[in-house]
Amino acid sequence: MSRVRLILFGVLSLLVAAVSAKAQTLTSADVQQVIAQAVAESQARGVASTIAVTDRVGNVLAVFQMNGAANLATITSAPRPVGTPTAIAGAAITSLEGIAVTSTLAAIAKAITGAYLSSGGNAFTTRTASQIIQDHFNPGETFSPSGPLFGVQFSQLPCSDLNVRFFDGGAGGLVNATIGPKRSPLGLSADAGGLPLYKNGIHSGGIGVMSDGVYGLDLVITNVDLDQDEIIALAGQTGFVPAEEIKAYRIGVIGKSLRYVDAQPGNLAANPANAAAFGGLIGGAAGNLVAVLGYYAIPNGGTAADVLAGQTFGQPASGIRSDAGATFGTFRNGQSASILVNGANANRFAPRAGTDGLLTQAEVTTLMIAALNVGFNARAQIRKPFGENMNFTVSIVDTNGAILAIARTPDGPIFGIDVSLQKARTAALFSNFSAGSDLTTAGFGDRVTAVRTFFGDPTALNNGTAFADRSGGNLSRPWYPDGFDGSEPGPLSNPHSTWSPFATGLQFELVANNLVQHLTFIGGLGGVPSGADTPARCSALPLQIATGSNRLANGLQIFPGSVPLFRANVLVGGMGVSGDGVDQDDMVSFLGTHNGSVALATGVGNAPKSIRADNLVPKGVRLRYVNCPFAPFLDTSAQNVCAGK
Amino acid sequence: MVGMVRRLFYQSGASFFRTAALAVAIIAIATSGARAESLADTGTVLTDVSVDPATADITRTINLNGDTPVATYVMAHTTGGKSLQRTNLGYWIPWSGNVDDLVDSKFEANAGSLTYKIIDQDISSFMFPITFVVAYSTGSALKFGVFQASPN
Repeated sequence: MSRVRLILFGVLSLLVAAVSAKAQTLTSADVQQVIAQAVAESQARGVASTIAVTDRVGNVLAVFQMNGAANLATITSAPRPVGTPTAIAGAAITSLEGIAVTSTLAAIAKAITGAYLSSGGNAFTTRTASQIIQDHFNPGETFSPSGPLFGVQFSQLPCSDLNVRFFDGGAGGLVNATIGPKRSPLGLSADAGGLPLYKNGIHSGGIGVMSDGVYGLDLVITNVDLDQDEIIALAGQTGFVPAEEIKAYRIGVIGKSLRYVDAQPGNLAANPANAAAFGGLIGGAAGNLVAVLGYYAIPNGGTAADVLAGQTFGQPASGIRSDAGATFGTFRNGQSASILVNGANANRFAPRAGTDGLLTQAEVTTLMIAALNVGFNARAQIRKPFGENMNFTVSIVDTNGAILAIARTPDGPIFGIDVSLQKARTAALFSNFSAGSDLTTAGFGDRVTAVRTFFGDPTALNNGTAFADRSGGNLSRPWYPDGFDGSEPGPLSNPHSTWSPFATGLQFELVANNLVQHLTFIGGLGGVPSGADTPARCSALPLQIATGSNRLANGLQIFPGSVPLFRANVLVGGMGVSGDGVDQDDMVSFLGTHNGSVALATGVGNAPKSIRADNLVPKGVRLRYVNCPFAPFLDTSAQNVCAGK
Repeated sequence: MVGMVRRLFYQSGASFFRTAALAVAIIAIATSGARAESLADTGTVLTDVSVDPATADITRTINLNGDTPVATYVMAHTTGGKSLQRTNLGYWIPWSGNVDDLVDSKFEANAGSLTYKIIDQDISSFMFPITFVVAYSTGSALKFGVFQASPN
């Protein structure tokens, strides 16, 4: 009898799990409803839109373009007075300012941003992104430091070796077809009109709208502007809204509330409930589903059958699933980490030894567990309700930039996967004796010279100084020190007169050629698709035989959350963390490395204090290494947890 | 490209120069693809390929430029996270990424060039793109080149 009960319980559990999974997954009908609602609002406003919908891991589920919609959108941060940046030898272009891209790509990037920045504990939008990537936080507040995620827009890049590609001819047939996280054609977007989608309160995807022909950002946060793209996206989101408690405006960073949207449902010109059925919109009636090379195909001729269902987040087909304790054990309250899996449901980045022979598999595993343990026990900064643990992704790389391990907490925002890897690689590169020569070889010798002039040290970037990403970030702001308006720029940044979120300096220059090549390949500049796609290898830094790639294969990142890893004075790699507040990310990487070092007792750990970048005082202002939260843990009142380490 | 150039005439001011600079950049990138297929100890970027994953057949002929290889190597890195190397019998086995662990694939030079038979099998179960590395040792130097394969 008890055995029968057990079997019944098991069957019931499976059924509940299946129903639960379905309840949080966008169906094709859901996606059609979202588009139909956005189209209805557009029609009521007399405008023509391009609308994209993705699932949480970036699979593009549909791209619908209304009749008469503008084919191109211009990238601009106007009315910011951006001058023409000086050409850098290693880069084809030094800015995206003024470049026109197809509206379909803009819409996809906006949808991906809504999906990737959000989680079960925070609903962020492209307007939120705009608030946290600018030269001041809040934008327009002079003499305040830059946004906490300064530079995040250049992540999820089409050249990333981590984010997965959609191949048009292989939809459904290739193992890549549903695996996320997918790349974004323009990185992350700050242009209002990208919102997350929540089905039954569960984060399921994103919608992006482009109708006004401008791919920009919100420079003035003190007003409430009615952005056309945002209003239309808001209409599309109807029925798929996040809980009020987790919307960005309920979440604060250093005492400042984040912005969710400016538009409100009361601004809608049409009632979404009265939207026409999707079937009556396609085939030219109101517009068409349109294929986007490299992102979305319409093998069924643009019929409703081409509107895809999303993947269930956390299931293997989404590319992310629970580790179930198999690799990293369990953490606070019995929680398990999550991992990235391939089409065979195997861990893509299970811990392994360094390709340079400097870290063992056991050391990598221990460091990962230590970092995850810090984060699982730390109080979240950007999540609601209060009292939840951090959600993030942690990556470890070796000195070649090879990925040695990646793991996540279950609800970490997706953007943190690629960004944590960028951060790990950035710390490892800048701390390497070869940093200067790598950059010079790639054509950025002038940036290296600028750094050496800045420090008054001809050996800078070739002397083994340990740079955390916070340190490198100090050098990548348009003013040094950050927030001191009118001071000189960091040597890795454009001067403020030519700086914009689309022209950050070295960070953008490193991937400019990749972006141009990709946009040309997919016809993203409005021309006929031509040439070959960018390789899954950002930047032109020297190749490493160990990886067949280079040390920054998914691009440079310039906001905090990583440390280089050392064995005594020898660089052995880097650890990067992303997904929560930047101080929390700093803490997980720094304290995780410290705790792992104590557990290992093999000599691997943080850089010796004597070689850390916070020994440097250029222009009379000390660089920062890491900045940990004051009392960060949920179950203890420990304070100053990074002090003295 | 013709369309882009044509559009330039309908633009003005900074936007014109921005787009013009972009067009120049595109041309520069397009022409940079025409390069000799040879290897170097700092690595060379070889031409990427498109394949039918179900019947992938990839060979690569490398100009040796006077080198005499004493060992040859073929490695692969998939987007799915696998790092593999090809044995002389054509099997793909895991590779640590450490050059000390490389196995000689024993391809032989002929008339100043070296042809690597990289793969001739169904590789549709792997995640794309796949990065291939071909290399040879001269005894005093390890030279290599990389290219990526995507489904066509």
